[in-house]
Amino acid sequence: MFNKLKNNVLLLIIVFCTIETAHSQLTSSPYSIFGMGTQAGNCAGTSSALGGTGIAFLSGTTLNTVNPASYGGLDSLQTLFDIGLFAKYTSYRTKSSNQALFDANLKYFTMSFRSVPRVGTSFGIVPYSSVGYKINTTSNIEGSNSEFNKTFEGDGGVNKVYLGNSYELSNNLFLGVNASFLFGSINRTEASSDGLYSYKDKNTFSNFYLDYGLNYKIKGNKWDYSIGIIYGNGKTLRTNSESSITTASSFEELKTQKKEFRIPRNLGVGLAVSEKSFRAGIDYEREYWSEINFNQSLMRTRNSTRYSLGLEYASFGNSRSNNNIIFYRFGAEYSESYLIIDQNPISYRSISFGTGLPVGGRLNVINISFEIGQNGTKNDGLIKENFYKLNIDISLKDLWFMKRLFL
Amino acid sequence: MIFICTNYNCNDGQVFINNEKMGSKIFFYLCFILFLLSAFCISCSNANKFSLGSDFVESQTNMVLTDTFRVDLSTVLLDSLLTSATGVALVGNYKDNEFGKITCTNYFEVGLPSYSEISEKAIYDSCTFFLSYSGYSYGDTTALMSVSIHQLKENITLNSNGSLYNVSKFEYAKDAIGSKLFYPNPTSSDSILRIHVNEYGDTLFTLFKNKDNNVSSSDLFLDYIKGFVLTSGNENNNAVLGFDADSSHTYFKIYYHVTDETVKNYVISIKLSSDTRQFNNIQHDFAKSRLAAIDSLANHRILSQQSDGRCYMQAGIGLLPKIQFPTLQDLFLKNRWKLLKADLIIVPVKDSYDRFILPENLYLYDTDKHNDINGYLSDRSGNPVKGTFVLDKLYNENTSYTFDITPFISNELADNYFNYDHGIFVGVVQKKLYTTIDRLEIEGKAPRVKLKLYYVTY
Repeated sequence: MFNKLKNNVLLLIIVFCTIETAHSQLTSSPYSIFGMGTQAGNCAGTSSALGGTGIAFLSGTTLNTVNPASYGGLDSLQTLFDIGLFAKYTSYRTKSSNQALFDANLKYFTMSFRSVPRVGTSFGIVPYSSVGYKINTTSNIEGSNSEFNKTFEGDGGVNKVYLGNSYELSNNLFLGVNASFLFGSINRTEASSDGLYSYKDKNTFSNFYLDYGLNYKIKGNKWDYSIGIIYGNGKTLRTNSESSITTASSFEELKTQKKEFRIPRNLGVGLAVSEKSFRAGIDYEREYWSEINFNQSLMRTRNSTRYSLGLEYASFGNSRSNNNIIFYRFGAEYSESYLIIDQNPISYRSISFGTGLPVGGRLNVINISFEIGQNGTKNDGLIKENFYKLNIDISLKDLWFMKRLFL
Repeated sequence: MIFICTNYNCNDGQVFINNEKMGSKIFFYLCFILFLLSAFCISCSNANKFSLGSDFVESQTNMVLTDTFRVDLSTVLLDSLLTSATGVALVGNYKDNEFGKITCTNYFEVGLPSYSEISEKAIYDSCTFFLSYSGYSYGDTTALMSVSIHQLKENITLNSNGSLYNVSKFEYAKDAIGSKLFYPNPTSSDSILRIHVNEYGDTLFTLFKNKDNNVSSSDLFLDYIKGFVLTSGNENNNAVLGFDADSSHTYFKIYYHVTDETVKNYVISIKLSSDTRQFNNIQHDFAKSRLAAIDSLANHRILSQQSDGRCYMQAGIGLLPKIQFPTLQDLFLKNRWKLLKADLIIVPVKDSYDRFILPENLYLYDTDKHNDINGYLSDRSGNPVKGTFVLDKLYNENTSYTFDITPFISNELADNYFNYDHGIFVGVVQKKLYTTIDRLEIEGKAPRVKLKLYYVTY
């Protein structure tokens, strides 16, 4: 009983930690200056090892957040806590120079369980997009020949708190709905480096959002075949903009034009095949960003497309029991992002491989994956990012419902 | 709860709880530590020197420098300047075409000395007046100079507010009791100036010896002796010297001896007694200089245009350059701007400092319509603003004083109205304003005094 209490306290701290870090930087990328920042992508659970693939996968030992219908695959006895961390080393190259940054942070926290028979439930906090940049530059002092140092900084992002349910409509047909609350803020600061002034722009957004998913599984003799569909209708976020200018002797709140931030419509289709120890899937997803205009002169939007592939092999070791499964995963992703900067479309490609290991009791799984990728281009003075990312995703299981039987 | 057992064997669960509890616990702690680590890892980011992406930014702000706002210059002669109780005696006179003639005389009082009874056999020897150089000098100290000491005909009386000014004056005897012709050496280690006043000393000695009524009490003594004035004996001295004016540096010594079986020497010291009734009278005569008209002008103020574009600072007489900003009000015609920095740049007249060295430290004083001095202009932390002095020894081209007057300008702008009458005096530090006659000529023509305003637009 005491142990349980202690675990709950720990969990509580973790949740607060997550909410706290949800407001901090998840990315360091000059590209995050544009639009709503860098999209977090499918970063939760096993999908980070599968190139973000997961529309047609059901959740198993680890939650799959890509498709709300996947919650239907949750084990009926377990409560699953998923938390994710990452560490990322990125080198930024232009045609003439080369710089590097290191980031590490918490990504998400989710909890999932089967609430009633035929219903899988999950809730948690996951990132949607994030902004993180600090650009040091010089600017001319108008009316003189001298320059001054200027710093542009941005941080913040949009996070999603969701509660999702997956209903088993009929045998092997799951319908999932996520009800989310999207919230966050993007802070941009433009300041003279010697502190003479700083101009701050803060956009706060929030709104409720629904997205849907379907998963249908056809059982074959050896192979099972699944198809998954996800859809979200897009939503305009309630936005509040505040600007202010601060100098050594004054502070003034400025009137700002109301900016519009929107989550685009999205549609994704995934296919998967699986047998006892192997599954493979492909995803195709489109987000309709071209309807959204951010009023940034250097940038325009296009509809983004994501193609991804994921393979997973489960090794049962000697025991052939569920206790000691080791997963090996491989994934690849190619995304045409929503950004077109200075006529150059920005695209993202990565490959990832990882493993899922049982730790500290047979039901807990630690998923470690390593991702190598590229983003952007060196054309027209733009920046190419090469990154190496380590994801650690932990699935903790607690037999809450089970224990209750023995009390 | 019934559905739970459909998937799991209950015995299986029990085994887990008993045997693998430990492992689970360790795992929990491991995760917890990982979390804390990652939460602090935001500081792992080394983004501070990052510069890539400068093509991506869109500036909302611009920094602008303008130095086109007009600066009005004038020279103001204050009615009076407090010069009493400073501990400094200024004596001498100096004349040139720029500032006219300046004459300094020092007034002081002495006190009844304490002395033992003087024997009938005592014989007067001599009397000397001692002065100590303070180290301050003005003008040409290589020329022969003279200093005279006179007795006052009236007592020094303080003003209603307990002080005395550069314009205060008391009548004194025309004939000096002593004077000295000498080559001044204000910086030498033998820093004492002696003036023999033998005849006057004899008179005093007789009073003391005879226990005259006039030396029976301090008041009677003061009433009798009144005080002294140090003047530049020669009308055409070419320097002004500074002396320490206090009881340990300014005194008479009367020497006498008594012959009994042996010869014994005695001294009576008559010392400067009142610090408050010690002051310098400093007179100016601007005739033939560019400032000649100032005494007759309203508020004793002469515009730089009326004085050949120049304006003048001289401590001691209260001659102060006044700076005003007539067009700053136009700033309010602009939209969306904030003042960042205001630099006032003062350029000395190019050929004005070969003979007189420029004051190294200049300060600014807040003044108004009535030309009152309302304290120093201060920086953000409340300290007086001191000019950053650049001396261009080679070409004299870039010699200047730069003052950060941002708080002055931003305070004045704060109420959306710039008060033209709210001006600035340029001067030396307050103590020197009262105890020196340091000078400065400011250039009102190009390269002239400038106000550089840095502001941000957004």
